[in-house]
Order: sequence, then C-alpha cells, then structure tokens
Amino acid sequence: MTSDRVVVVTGAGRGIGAAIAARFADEGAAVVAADVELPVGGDPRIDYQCVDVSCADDVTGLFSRIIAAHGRVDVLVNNAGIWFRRRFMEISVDEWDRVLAVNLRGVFLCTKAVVDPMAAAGGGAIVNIGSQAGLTVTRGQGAHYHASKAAISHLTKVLAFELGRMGIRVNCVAPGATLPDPSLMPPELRAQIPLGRAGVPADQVGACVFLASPDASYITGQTLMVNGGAVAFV
Amino acid sequence: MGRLEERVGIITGSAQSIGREYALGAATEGAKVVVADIVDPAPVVAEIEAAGGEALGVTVDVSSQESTEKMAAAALERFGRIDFLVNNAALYGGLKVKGWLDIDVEEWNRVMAVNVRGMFLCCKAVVPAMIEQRGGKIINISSGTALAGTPGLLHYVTSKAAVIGFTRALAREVGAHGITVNTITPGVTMSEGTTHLFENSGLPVADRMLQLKCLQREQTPHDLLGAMVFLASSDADFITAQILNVDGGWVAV
Repeated sequence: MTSDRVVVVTGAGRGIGAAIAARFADEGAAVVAADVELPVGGDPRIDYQCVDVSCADDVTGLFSRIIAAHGRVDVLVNNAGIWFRRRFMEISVDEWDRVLAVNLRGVFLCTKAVVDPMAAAGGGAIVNIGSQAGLTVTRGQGAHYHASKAAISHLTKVLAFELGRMGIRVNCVAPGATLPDPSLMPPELRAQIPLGRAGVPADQVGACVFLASPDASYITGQTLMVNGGAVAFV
Repeated sequence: MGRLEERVGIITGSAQSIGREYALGAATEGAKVVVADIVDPAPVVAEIEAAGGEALGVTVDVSSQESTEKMAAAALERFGRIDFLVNNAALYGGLKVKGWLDIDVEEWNRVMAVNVRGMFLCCKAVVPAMIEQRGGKIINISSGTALAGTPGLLHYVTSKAAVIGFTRALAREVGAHGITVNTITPGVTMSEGTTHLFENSGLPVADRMLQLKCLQREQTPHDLLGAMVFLASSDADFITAQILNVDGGWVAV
C-alpha cells in the first residue's frame, strides 16, 4: 500500500513519531525522520535528518534535500511538538513563544514546504498530530500546549479547504494521554478510561497510517481522537 | 493478508447499497461476513463466495428482538464467533424529503424502530458473545445530516443523532470488556437511496454539496469502505466512543 511512497515524519526521533515512521518503513515507504535530537543507532531503514521545525532555514534545507533525493513527498506527518507542565501564571513569555514556535509554526513551515511538490504530483496527504488537549482541558499540560494543539485542529480544517482543490488531504490525529510505559499512570486515572489503560505510542500509528492512505481518500479536515475512550464529548 | 483476516463480521442492511459495499469490502479483506438484511441476502452472499470469500445470509428485521437474537445465533452457529458488528440497516432510501409537519406519527415511529431500536437490539444480541471473547468492535452508521441539522428529514436526522449518543455511552459501558464502539458519519452519498429520497424534491443536492466541500467530487458508497474496514481492524484498537466523519470535508469544516 505505501511502497515507493515518500513519507516525512517530524519529531520522529522517539515516541509517537518514531512509531509512525517505523510503520511506514514496514510498509515499504521511503521514510525521512526529522528531529532536533536524533536517536543513537535508530532504524537502518530510515533516513534521519537533524532539523528544528521552528526554524525556517532548517525546514527549507530539509525539504530541498528531500526533493533532491526523492523527487517528491507523498505524505507529511507533522508530529514534532514540545510540552511543559506549567501553571498558566508561571509560563514565561519565552516559553510561550517556544511552544507555539515548535508546535504551530513548525506545522506552518513544513506544510508550506510540501504544498508545491504535492500539487505538482497531483496530490498528497498531510497528517497533523494534535492532541486531546486541543479539544478539552487536559490536566498536566500547560495552557500554551493546549492553545497550540487547538490551533492545529482548526488549522487542519482551513488547510483541508484551501489545499483540497490541489488533491491534498489534511487531517489530524489527537492522541490522549500517552506514556512510554502505561503502568506509570495511577490506577484512579486509568479507571476513568473505558479501555482501562493509558495510551502508548504504538496506539497512534493505525489512525495516522489510515488517514495518510488511499482508504481515506474522501476524508479531509477531520480530527480523529485516539484515547481509549477517555474523551468523547467534543 | 487482509486486514480483517479470520474475523467474523455481521453487517446489517448489507444486501444492497452502501451495506453491500461494506460486505464485499470486508470479505475482500479476509473477513467471514454475515450478510444480514430484511431483503434477500442471497445475491450478495453469492458475490462474496464467487470471489473466494465466506459468507452467511441471514434475513433479519432489526426492529425485532426475536429476529436479532436469531441473527446472532445463526452467526455463532456457522462461524463460532462475532468479531465486529456494523449497524448499517436503516430506513433512508424509502423516505421522501418533506417538511417536518408532514411526517405522520407512524412513519416517525418506524424510522426510530429500525434506525435506533434496531441498533440497540443488534448490540444486545451480539455483545454477549463479544464479552465472552473479551473483545469486539461495534461500528454504528450515523450521518453527517445529524451534525449539520439537515432539514427535510427530521425523523431520519434525529435517529442518526441518537446513534452518536448511543455510541459514546455504550463505549463507556463495554470498554472494560475490550469492546470498542465507534460511529461513521457519512456525508450525503450518491446511492440509490439518496437518488430516491431527493427525487422530485426540487433540491439540487449534488451541486450544492460540491460548492461547500474541500474535495471537489461527489461521494460514492465506495468512499465509506476504508473507514469501516479501519474501524473493524486492529489498527483501531485504541479508538472508542469516536465519530469518524467521511464527507470530503463538508460539515465540520
């Protein structure tokens, strides 16, 4: 299904991004994983690029190299994001700006870079990784994170509308609480989740791959929440 | 290997139209399909078998508790398990666009009986097996008209809004058993049902929809298949209580 497709995943050095990148590689795609911090070792099938998505020059350089090497981009997964546990009144201006720069400006810059190549190729798919925090108040996350993720869900709609006519679909996957080790979640919080456990990075892969695939060819502008049923009312 | 290999799925209303697409598509992905419908399911069963798949045809009236129990029993007798249920059977194509005051009580009751009670009864009949299996997936077919509040189909729209509430609440009640419950809200899809519904209504359905959409083409029954297969597959294991909206970027944009 994804053989020969060129897939770019940002923030793919670890966590959800790494899991998504690995799955696309499993399916035979040519995968570029961009991150500010690259893993030691890493997956030999994946092309790792050190990039700060909040930096316009870094992003321009990244996509120039990708187009030079592969000639196209079929799928872009905007996953790079940072977060801080921070009460609102304790958020400094610098930290506010930093979170928005990585989480939101990063999506803007990377998306801008793929529009022309995708349009020239007749289409493409963009999957933005948002968050449950973009739709509902999520304890443990700072207001800057919430705001950036809400913006991503809404930006997804505008992009879907503007880019739809070029054959580019844009959707968003909104993870719930995701931990490298689900047993880290206290039992009283686990009990509030219908499927009885915290999410792990692998849980987000299916939705992302689906939305990027031809099976979702009539789906655009949507935010799909993947959270074990923790949140459903939005 | 198909994404639904060895899974057994009951798909109601699958003898025709969009349901038939679901049945054929699920079988192509390796599922054993129970083609359940009030009209004769034999032709779709034959199509699946001709393509090398396995299927069982069951005649069912989803608004009847007895009939749905027989449907579940027949599925278990033939295949031994039920992995997914697609509550797709609904009164739609047989209706006509009309003002809400022109809907008589009998018609209102019939729509609720099939579209809402039918979904409840099918789940009631099938979930015990899923509990024993410690897992299963329920996919309820709602409609984008419930999100948009489309006029001219008040009973239908109301019944499809009920699907959303039902999905969210049931997901919370059965999650502990490893059962996920989700809903698909299709946009207005160019099916025989839609054609019949809007016939003579004077409404330019297709053109108006296109102007508002992100994707500039009409929605076909086949466009819904990917979402159904995805939600029935292990790729959607951690997704429950959710709406997957398939409409070319129309209602929520």
